[in-house]
Amino acid sequence: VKASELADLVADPGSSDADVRTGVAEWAREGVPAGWRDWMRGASEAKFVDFQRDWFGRLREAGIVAPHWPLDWGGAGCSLSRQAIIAEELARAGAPQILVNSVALFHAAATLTHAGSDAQRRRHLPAILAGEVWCQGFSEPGAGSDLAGLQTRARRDGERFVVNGQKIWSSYAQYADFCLLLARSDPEAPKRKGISFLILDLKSAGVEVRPIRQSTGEQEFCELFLDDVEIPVDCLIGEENEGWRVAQQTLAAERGVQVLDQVERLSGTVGRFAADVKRVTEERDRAAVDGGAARQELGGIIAEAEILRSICHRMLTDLERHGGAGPEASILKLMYSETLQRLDDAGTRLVGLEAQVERPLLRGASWESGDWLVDYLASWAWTVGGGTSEILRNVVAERVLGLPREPEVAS
Amino acid sequence: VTVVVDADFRAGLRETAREFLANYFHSAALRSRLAGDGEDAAVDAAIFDLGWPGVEVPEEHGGLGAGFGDLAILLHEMGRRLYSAAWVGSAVVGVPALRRADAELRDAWLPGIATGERNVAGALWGEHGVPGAIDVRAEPSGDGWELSGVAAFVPHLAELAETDAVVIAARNGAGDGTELFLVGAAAPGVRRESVPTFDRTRHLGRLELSRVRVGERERIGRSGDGPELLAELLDRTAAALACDAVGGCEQLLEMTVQHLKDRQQFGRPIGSFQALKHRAADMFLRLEASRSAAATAADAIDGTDRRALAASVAKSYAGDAYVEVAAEAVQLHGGIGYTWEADLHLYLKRARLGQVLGGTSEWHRSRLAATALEAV
Repeated sequence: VKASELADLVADPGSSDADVRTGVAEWAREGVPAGWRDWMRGASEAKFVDFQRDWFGRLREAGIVAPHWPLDWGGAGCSLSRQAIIAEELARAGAPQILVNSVALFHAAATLTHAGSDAQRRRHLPAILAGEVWCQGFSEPGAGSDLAGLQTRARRDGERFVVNGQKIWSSYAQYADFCLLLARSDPEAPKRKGISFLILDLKSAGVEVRPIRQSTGEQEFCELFLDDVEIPVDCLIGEENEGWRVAQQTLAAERGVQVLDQVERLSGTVGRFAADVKRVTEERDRAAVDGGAARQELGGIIAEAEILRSICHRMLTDLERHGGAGPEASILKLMYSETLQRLDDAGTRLVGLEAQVERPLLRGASWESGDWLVDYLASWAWTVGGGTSEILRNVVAERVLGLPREPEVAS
Repeated sequence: VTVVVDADFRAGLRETAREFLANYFHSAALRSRLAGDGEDAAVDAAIFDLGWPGVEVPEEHGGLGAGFGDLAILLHEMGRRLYSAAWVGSAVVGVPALRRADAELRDAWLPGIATGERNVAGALWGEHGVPGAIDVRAEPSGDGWELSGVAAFVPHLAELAETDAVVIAARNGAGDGTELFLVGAAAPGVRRESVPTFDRTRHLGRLELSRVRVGERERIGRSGDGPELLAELLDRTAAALACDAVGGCEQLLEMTVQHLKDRQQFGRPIGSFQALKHRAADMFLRLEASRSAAATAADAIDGTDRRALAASVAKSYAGDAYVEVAAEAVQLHGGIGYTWEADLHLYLKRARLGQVLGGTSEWHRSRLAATALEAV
């Protein structure tokens, strides 16, 4: 299947989902560069960024880089179930993930679509499809789980804001052109009422980006230092001081199809675990590997991965039929991240010392590099990032089960 | 395989079942049933009027002609209220087995099952209750068969007087295949006894067969169909127990959340403490995951696609989840949770039986692993 043929098929609402599935699978046979994992092992950052750009371009040609975007903006206007099919088939083909452009395609696009001005959309949405990179400037050293307590200050000065402060955990900011920035524009208002949502051009004077090296050795996250950075008022998204509400749209984007994509990819990792169970029980003697225990663990992990897929599919059905997701949506990321961590822990134990041998890092494979210990370390990106598991348990207990809120500590 | 689901029918069924059981099979009625004082007999009569035993009996035999997905809803709601009766065994195993039986047998049994007058239990495993380990042998004899051996931990068999026949899995003495037979519960050579269990809400029995004669007509399915039919009945049993577990978890979570809101210590509801809140959230996680697993298993049974996988996923996960949720419910209720008077121990005991009946969680996980390892 040629890229242009697939693009037409995917964007045609009259085509069948089954044809789209076959089309993506067939395209992926040629379209997913064979051996990308080998090139990326020990690759330089520059090579990684080039490869991400190349992969982004291939997906764009095939019309599946933004299946969730409306047709008017150059997306494929796919239904949720069709998006899920594309994600499933790419995962099955062992395709690389879009990492560097992910915030642009999901968070920035969702924010601009829901709350941006026409001018902002015209300026940025086509540019994002052309490869413009975005990062997110939400968390701060003093505002993690309590995000609304953020202190970066945006002082209004005529037709501009002057911004001072520090942001952290900003993925791929070192390659980014723009940043989705939350800053306090009214320090007198209650904490959720005084925040504005701004588009920050990272080329502005006074912006410094410093990568943070993670426990895996990769440098995905960055710190942003903002020193008297000027942002024009037309870069405000939504109303002044209404940024908290806008941010909810941004955050909703990362809990949707993106998790679904990860759940599909988890099946591949379960397959790798099964292959390792088979290999180590055949290779090693019984004193070294308890085959029964390994099979029990495998069975348990298969069950969890299958249940996650069921939850995803049920959530999709609910969304398409009733326009809203049931309570399972609130637990999807929580369950996924903890299952991922358990699986990587099990793999690390299963293969024993083999997992302790350090190999050159497989860049850009995040939590599915195939090195159990690296993937295990990377899994904290999911249990901590995007709302820690503990915060999500609070959300379930308070908003789903209706338990009383923790008494607020007066500050 | 596409399963055609009538969502309105199911919603109505769930609502009816939930309301009916809440009104007539509340804790006091359950206690009365456990005490054997008979005050709950009207409940079963009303259930027969509602047609529940015949959910999967074809309409021409007086049933509702629905599928396992519909029975699953009833099993879930009955699990919430710890309901059990002899007809449940018919619905889970008896009916699907008889639907494969020869026309005369179908005509003879299905109408009576649909009205709740007759019950057919399923004895699918041997002495230790392990799926696949069968301790009854079937020897060809004349124009029929002779069955001898033991089937233990037979669900719903101890509602003794009420069980009319049993679908029994037997090893074929002539070959090494598996066959299923319909055996009259009072046939010569059949000895049955009840097996008292700590879970008093359900009743298990044990069968000993000594040269019990059955005709060729009582063999279910064609020659060679036995293994696949048995596999289907085992998957149905596993899925049914998963549905029961989901209902139980749901009720336990509601009871526990209510307690966490009502109970005050240190001047505030104990549910405002994060340590307890998180445990309630984990109960919810386990419940929702079990719910998805059981629903997927129910669909798979109606559709046959990935049936064994879905059944083992549901049984192993929901079976364990039920025990964990019940244990947490006991703990979070504090002292009262540990009393005979509170219902929590009834759930915990039912959960512990369900976890090991129809294949333990370990058995099902081994099966999942074996399938995955074959595919490597």
